[in-house]
Amino acid sequence: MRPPLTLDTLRLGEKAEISGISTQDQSLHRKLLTMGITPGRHIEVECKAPLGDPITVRTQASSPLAPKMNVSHGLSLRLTEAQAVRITPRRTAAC
Amino acid sequence: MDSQTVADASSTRRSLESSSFIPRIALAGTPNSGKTTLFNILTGLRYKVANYPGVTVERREAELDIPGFGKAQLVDLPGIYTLFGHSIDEIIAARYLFGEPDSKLKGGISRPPDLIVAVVDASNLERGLYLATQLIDLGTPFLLAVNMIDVGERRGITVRAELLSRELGVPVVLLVAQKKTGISQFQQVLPQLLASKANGGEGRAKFSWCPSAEFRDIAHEIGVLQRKQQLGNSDGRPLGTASGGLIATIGVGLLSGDITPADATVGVRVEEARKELQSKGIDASQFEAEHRYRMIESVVRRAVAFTSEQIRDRTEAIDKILTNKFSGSIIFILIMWLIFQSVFTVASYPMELLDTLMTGFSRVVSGFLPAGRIRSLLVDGVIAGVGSVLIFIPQIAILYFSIGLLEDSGYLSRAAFLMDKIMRRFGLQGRSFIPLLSSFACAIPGIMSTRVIPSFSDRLATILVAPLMSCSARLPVYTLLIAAFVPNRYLFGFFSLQGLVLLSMYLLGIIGAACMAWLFKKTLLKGLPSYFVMEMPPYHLPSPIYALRNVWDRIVLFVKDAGTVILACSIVLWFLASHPLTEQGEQPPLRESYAGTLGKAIEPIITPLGYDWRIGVGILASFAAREVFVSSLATVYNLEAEDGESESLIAALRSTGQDNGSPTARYTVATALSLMVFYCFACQCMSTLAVCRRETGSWKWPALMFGYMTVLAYVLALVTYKGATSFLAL
Repeated sequence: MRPPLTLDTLRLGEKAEISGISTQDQSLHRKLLTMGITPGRHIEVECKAPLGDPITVRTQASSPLAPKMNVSHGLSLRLTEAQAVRITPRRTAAC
Repeated sequence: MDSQTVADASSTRRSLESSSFIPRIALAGTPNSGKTTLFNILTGLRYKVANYPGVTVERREAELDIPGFGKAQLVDLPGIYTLFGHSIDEIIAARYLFGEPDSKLKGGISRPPDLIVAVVDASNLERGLYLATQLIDLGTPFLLAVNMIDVGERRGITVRAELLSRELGVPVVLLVAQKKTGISQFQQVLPQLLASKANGGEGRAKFSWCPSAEFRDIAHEIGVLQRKQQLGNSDGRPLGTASGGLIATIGVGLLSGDITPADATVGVRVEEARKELQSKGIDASQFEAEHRYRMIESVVRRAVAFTSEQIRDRTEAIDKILTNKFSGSIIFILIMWLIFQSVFTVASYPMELLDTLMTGFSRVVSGFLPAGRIRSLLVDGVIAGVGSVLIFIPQIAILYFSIGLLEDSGYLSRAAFLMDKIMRRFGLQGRSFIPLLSSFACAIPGIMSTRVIPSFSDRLATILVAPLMSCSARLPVYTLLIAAFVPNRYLFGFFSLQGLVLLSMYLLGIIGAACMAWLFKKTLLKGLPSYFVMEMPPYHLPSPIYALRNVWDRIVLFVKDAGTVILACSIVLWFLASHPLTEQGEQPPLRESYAGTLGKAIEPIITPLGYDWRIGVGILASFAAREVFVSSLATVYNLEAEDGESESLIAALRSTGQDNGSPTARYTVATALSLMVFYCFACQCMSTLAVCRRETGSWKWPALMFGYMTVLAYVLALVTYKGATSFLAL
C-alpha cells in the first residue's frame, strides 16, 4: 500500500478529494476542520508563494453534480500544515 | 409573523417595559464580515471600548434605542470562526455565549445573551454558515444578517433570503452595511425577536446537521455533566437558563477535544464516550465539522443561485500580479517603503507641532506660577510627562491607519503570504514583518500593531524582539558618538567610515533580533500553538472611515493604559533629577541630584565597559527617552541643552580627562563603540515596557524583555570594549 498522499504534494491547478486530517497539533487540527477542510470535500491548489511556501488552496462542495460553487475565500497555509491533510487525487479534466 | 404572535409580542412588551428588562444582543461573525461596520452604524459614536478582564481581547458595547421596542444593549464580540476555537478571541466569545460559571452571580453562572445576530459575508458563505449554524444550535433567538451581498453578486452569487430562512429556520436579512442597504429592514425585525425571547422561547436542540441521534444524546449527557461539575450542583439538573441546544453544543466541544473538561470526572466520561462512538464508526474529533459542512453544502445548493459562467471578479487577476516572484516582490517593497516613510517622516510634522504646543503650554504655565517646586513639578514633571505620551500618537495613528487600509483592502494577507517563509527561518512569521518594519521608526506603534498576528507565541516573539530594531530615538546617540569619535575617513575612496559604522549598528540590531526570536521559539515559547492557516479575502476598495475608526479606538486604549504608566515614570524621573534641593531651596545641578548620585553609584559596574559616572547619568536619564542621553550629557558638562549637536559637546567629550587629573583622553573610539552597542541592545524605553505590558496582559513579559536586553547589552558592550582595546588597540 502506498503511503497516503498529502496536500503538500498536490500541484498547481490539480484537484483532489480530502480523505482526512492527521496531525498531533490539536489547534491545527481544529483550524483546518473549521475552515472547511473536512473529509469528502474537494480541494484545489490555486497559487504558490515565490519560494513555493506557503500555498493558497480553495475548498469546495463534494457533490460532482453541483455546478462549481465558489462560496469560500481562498485559504493559505504552510506546506508543513498542508502535510496534515490526506487526499485522494482526481483528474484535472472536467468530470 | 401572524397577527396572534404580534399581539402576544406587544402585550409582553408592555409588561416588560414596566419591569425594565434590558435585553443583551450579541453581535457575532467571522473576521472581515463587516460586523464592525454594522456595529458602528447601529451605535454611531456612542460605544465604549475596554478589555475583557485579564486578557487583551477588546470588548465594545453600547446601549441602543430600538424603535418599536425600547432599550437594549449591543455587544460586539471578537471575530471568530467557530465556538470550538483555541485562540483567545474564540475562547472569550464562546464563554460569553455559553455563559460563564461565576459563583458571585445569581444561579452561579452568567446569563447568555438574549438575542444573537450573526453577520456572514455573502462571498464567504460556507465558513460564515459554519459559525452561524453553531450559533443557531444554541437555541437562543437568532437573526442571520448576510452582508456584502454586493461583493457576492460580483462573484456570481445571489442569496435567496426567503429560501435560506426556510432552510435554516431563522429570519434572514440581506445587507450591504457599508452602503447602509438593508439596515431599516434589519431594524424592523429586531423588536419581534426581542419580544419572542421575553416569551421564554428556548429552542429545542436543532442539530439538524447531526445524522446520529446517539451522538446527539451522548453530547447532551456530557454537557449536563460538565455544567453540573462546573456549578457544583448535586441534584443533576443544570442551573441557569441554558437551553438543551447550548448544553449539547458544549458536549460536542468536549467530545471533539476542543473544550476542556471541568474536572477528572468529566474527563473520564468523555474518554469513555469517545471510545463508545469509535466502536460505532464515529470519529468524535471530526464528526461535527464533517457533517455540518455537508449540511451547509445542501443548504447553499438550495438557497443560493449561481450565474452559469462563474464570474471571477478582479481578485484572481490582481493576485497574479501581486503574489508572483517578480512584480509581487517589487510592489511589496514599494508598499512597505511607503508605510515606513509615512511613519518615519510624515509623522514628524504633527510630532513637531505637538512638541511646540507642549513647550508653549509649559511657558504659559510657568508664566502663571511662581518659581518653585510646584511649578517644577507641573512643568517639568506632569506636562513633560503628558507630552511624552502624546508624542507617540501621530506615529501610532499613521501606522494603524495604513494597516487598516491594508487589511480592509485585502492586501495584508498577501503581504504575510509573501514574507512568511523568510520570517519563519527566524522563529517569526509573515505577519511579523510590518510590526518589525515600523519598529525602525518607533517600537511603540510597532508593538501595538502585532495585533495582526493571531497566534500568541508568534506575537510574543515579535513583541520581545521589536525593540532591537534600532528606533529613531537611538539616532541622536549614534550620531553624536560617531561624530565625536569615529574618524572622518573613507575606505577605498568612497565608503564613509562613519556611514559604515552607522549601518553596522542597524544590522547589529537586526541580527540580534533574528537570533533572539529563534532562541525564544526554541526554548521559552516552544510548544505553544502557532499556525499560519489564513484566509485570502477578495480585494476591495478600502474604506478610510473604517480605518479611522480603528485608529481612534487604539489611541484611546493606548492613552488609558500605557499613558498612565509613562506619566507615572516621568514624574519619578523628574523627582530624581531635581532633588534634593540645595540649601537655597533651588534645584541642584545634575551631578548632585539623586540621579547624579545614582550615576556615581553605578560607576563601578559600568567602568569595565569604558564608561564613567557622566555616561552613567546619561544612561539612567535615557529611561525617559533614549534621545535624552544627549541633552543630559550637555547638562552634565554645564552646557545649554540645545548644544547637543554643537561642536561644544563633541569637543567636551573628546577633551574629558582621566579621573586622576591627567589629560589623557578618558573616552576613546572603543568607548564610543561600546556605548553604541549598549544603546543598540539596552531596554531603555519605559514606554516600550508599558506598551508591552498592555499588549501581553502581564508584567512578566516586559520583565523578561528588560532582563534579556540588559544582559545582552552589558555583555556585548563589554565584549566590544575589551575587544576594541585589546585587539584593535583603539
